[in-house]
Amino acid sequence: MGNGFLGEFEQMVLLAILRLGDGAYGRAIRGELQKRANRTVTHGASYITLDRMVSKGLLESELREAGPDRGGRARRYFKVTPAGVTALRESRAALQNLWDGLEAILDEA
Amino acid sequence: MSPWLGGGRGPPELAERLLSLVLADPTAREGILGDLWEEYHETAEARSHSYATGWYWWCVMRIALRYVAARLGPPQSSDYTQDLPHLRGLAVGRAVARDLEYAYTTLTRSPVFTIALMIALGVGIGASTTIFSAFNAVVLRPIPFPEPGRLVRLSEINPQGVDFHASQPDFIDFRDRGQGVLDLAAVHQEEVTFLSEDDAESLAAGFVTSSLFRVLRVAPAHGRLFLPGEGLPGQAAPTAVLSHELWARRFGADSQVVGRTLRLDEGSFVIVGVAPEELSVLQGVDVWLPRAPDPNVPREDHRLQVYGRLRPGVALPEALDEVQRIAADLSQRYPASNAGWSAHLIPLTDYLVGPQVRLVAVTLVSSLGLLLLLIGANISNLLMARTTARQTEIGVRSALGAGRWGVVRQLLSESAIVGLGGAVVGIAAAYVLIPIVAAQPELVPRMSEVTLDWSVLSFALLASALEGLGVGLGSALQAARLRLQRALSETGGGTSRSGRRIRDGLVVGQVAMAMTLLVVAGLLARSFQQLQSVDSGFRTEGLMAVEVQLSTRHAGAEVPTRYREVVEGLRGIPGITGVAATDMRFFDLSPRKFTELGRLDAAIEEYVTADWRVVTDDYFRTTEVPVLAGTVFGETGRTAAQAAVVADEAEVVVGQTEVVVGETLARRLWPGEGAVGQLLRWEGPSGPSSRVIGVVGDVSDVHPVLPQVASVYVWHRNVPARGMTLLLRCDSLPSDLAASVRREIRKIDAEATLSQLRAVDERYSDVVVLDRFLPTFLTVVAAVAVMLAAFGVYGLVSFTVRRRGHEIGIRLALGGRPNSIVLMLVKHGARLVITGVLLGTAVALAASRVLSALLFKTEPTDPGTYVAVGAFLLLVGMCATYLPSRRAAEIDPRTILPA
Repeated sequence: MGNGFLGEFEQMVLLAILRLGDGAYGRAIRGELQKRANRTVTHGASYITLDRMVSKGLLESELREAGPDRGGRARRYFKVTPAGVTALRESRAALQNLWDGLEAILDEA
Repeated sequence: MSPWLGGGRGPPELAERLLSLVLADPTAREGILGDLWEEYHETAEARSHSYATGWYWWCVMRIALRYVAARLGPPQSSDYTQDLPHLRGLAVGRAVARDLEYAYTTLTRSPVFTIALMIALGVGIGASTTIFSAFNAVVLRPIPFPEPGRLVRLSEINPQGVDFHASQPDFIDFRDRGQGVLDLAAVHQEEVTFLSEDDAESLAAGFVTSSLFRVLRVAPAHGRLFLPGEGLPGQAAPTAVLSHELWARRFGADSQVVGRTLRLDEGSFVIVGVAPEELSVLQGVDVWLPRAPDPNVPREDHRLQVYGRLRPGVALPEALDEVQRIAADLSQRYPASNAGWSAHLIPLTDYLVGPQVRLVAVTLVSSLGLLLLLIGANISNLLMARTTARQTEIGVRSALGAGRWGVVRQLLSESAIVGLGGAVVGIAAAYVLIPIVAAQPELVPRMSEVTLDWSVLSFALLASALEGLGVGLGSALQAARLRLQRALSETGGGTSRSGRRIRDGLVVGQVAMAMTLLVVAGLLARSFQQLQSVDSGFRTEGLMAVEVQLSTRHAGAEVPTRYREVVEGLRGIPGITGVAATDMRFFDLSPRKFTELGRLDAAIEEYVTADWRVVTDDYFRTTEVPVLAGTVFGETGRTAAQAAVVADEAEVVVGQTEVVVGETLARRLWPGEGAVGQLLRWEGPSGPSSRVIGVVGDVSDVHPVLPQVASVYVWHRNVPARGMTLLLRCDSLPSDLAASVRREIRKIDAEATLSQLRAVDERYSDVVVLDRFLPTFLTVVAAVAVMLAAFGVYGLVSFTVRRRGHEIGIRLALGGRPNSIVLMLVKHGARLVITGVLLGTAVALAASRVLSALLFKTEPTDPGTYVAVGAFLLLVGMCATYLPSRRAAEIDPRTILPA
């Protein structure tokens, strides 16, 4: 991606979606963020971020039929695009470069 | 509640719709609504449906706000609109969105404060919206006929200025001798009996001229309406038009009803059509029957309600001139019946709504307007206090380059969001309240038409927008004046003098508004008290009434005999101590029968308008109307002296009847003389005469505010009315009284109709329902107002204590006595409260003059009310000042001053 690195929240969302694999829809993603990263995310913030990342090409989404407990509505599942994977890699590499050689100091603290 | 707002099995539909509107992308919409649905049901299961509904609304509002902000939102890096002047509008939109988003973040940082504001605003808006909807239905919405402004009602005015219906020959003259400025129609309502295979029901029949439907310009719901010429005497097959309500109730809304036969006691009628629903506004009639006015009935018999439509291009004054000219002509031509009579036209809307109802509506709306202002002032004060508390934050923003305008804009954005939230709460409140109001048709006519429609919704939105803007303005202006340096110097030493003055002014305003509302409520309550103390002139307690209509099978002298049999039959029931009948209905505002009475030799100008009633034997003993002189009908044991008076009277006129007169009539016809034994004449110098056999006390049995009228009683044996009200005086209420009455009536007439048996006391409560409702309602409004004002005073003083804590600490440390500090604060509060009370008194005095038409035997300047209310408000204000002031004395200087 030309315009720089991913934000922290965007990275978290991408990672959560990758972890969820086939089952990554809105609620599940928020659940994963809560469970793994101890982050409570409001509905508004999560949906708007997901939309933004779709429009940036980091994610793609599709509607799939779901059970009757959704009032007849489909679920919107998200998948990380190759561009999203690349962006994650770049972010990790950049961070890792910065982390290198600092373990001694940081582990002490 | 309905599933629309929440309360059904699923999430509230309105919220779903709202969110769908905001989410433009269908994929996003589907995903988000589905997710919320899942969570809604989980929440509902874990907690409750109502909790889940609240949660759902909260989520929807937050998501919607985010999406709206994002759509207008901060420019992307690839955005170029900023550089292109023709796209600057977009940039402004984005700036507004940024302000809104920031305001949203600020507000959600203190959610309790924000929600409290929204609820306060919402309750005010909800209440005013409800009242506005009633006002809208009753006063503003035109009557449901085309060009309602051109419809009028024609009445005849007697020499004493009393408004009468028209007589049949007069109507014909008004209709035929005009120059074509008016198209006239007449209605005359009578009770008829509807006969079906198994029962009989009393119906209100509207005998109309065939022109009525043309004048009103209504179209039939089914079939046709009357044709010209229908209703003339000797017509082969009489026709009928069913009211929409009767058609639905008795004919199951069957569209095949046209052509069927309607059996009434008057004969058989062919149903030719069904009237449209809106006709019920004009008259509560079950069935419409055509009847051409009869030129041969006496001109004294005023029973036709006359409606008219101004012809195109004709103005009301022109038409009024014409009917007055015709009336003047009639009074010359027929002096015996029409001398001194005139005619009048009023717009139909004025006739149906009436000035009294209009005034009630205006009082309601203005009192709620005041309450809304009060809530606004209160919120304004809260916001200003908060702005002061936030001055450091605002200072930082200014220091970072936010201009004055930027700060103002941000604060206004906050109040816009609060206003929007208030509107949502308000509309929800109105949604709940309006059906409750609409279910009270006895309060105000046409109340059942109250609905939540677009005009009502726009009112709610406009009110909240203005309110939001108004409350925000004070704090925004205050913020704009903050001095950067002082704001940043942190001690929070004080605010600008003008800010203080605005806050003081708002508190004075709140007290003044509370005072005004309290005075108005107090005056109306006192008026109602006066109303209740009106002596009806008879004992209503333990008196039961039922209206009976004998079928046409009985006529003439037979009718009183039949009634006597009923009375005799009922007298035997244990617990009943008296039975009688009269042809009038107690506490019923439908038109009375009036006549003109004069002394035997009097000129027509000296005649007195009196209402006349038909009564049976024992009427006065049963109702306990006191007999002041002479004797009354059927009273056993006439004394020899009284009999002598009657025998002494030599000039017995043919067809002369005996009458009993009320005290007022006796005094007006024979001032200073005894009325018993005198002769009086009916309807003019050529009318029949009657001998007065007794004088009884005056009664007030229509409505307590109506002035005492002259009344005359005639004996049922002489005037055999078929429709009578049976009166039963009960010591204890026999459990099956209604059944016994029904049985006795059926014995003599199987086709007679009966109304429900009800206590006369109950009828009284019904007739004064509006007189009771208004003070009750206003007392509630005033109580809320007083609470709000007290809250305002309390808040201001607490705020002062906090703001001046530093200064107070120093004073205490320097040896200032706590009491003197409390006194200083109380003095300040007292000054504001007293100013408010005085200002409120002035406003109330001005308002009460308008109100005086609603007051009964109560002066609009009644000093007792003003003093009591003012003292009460002062007391409340002093408490609200004293409580927070005391805290000042408890300040520990050590916590304030640096060690």
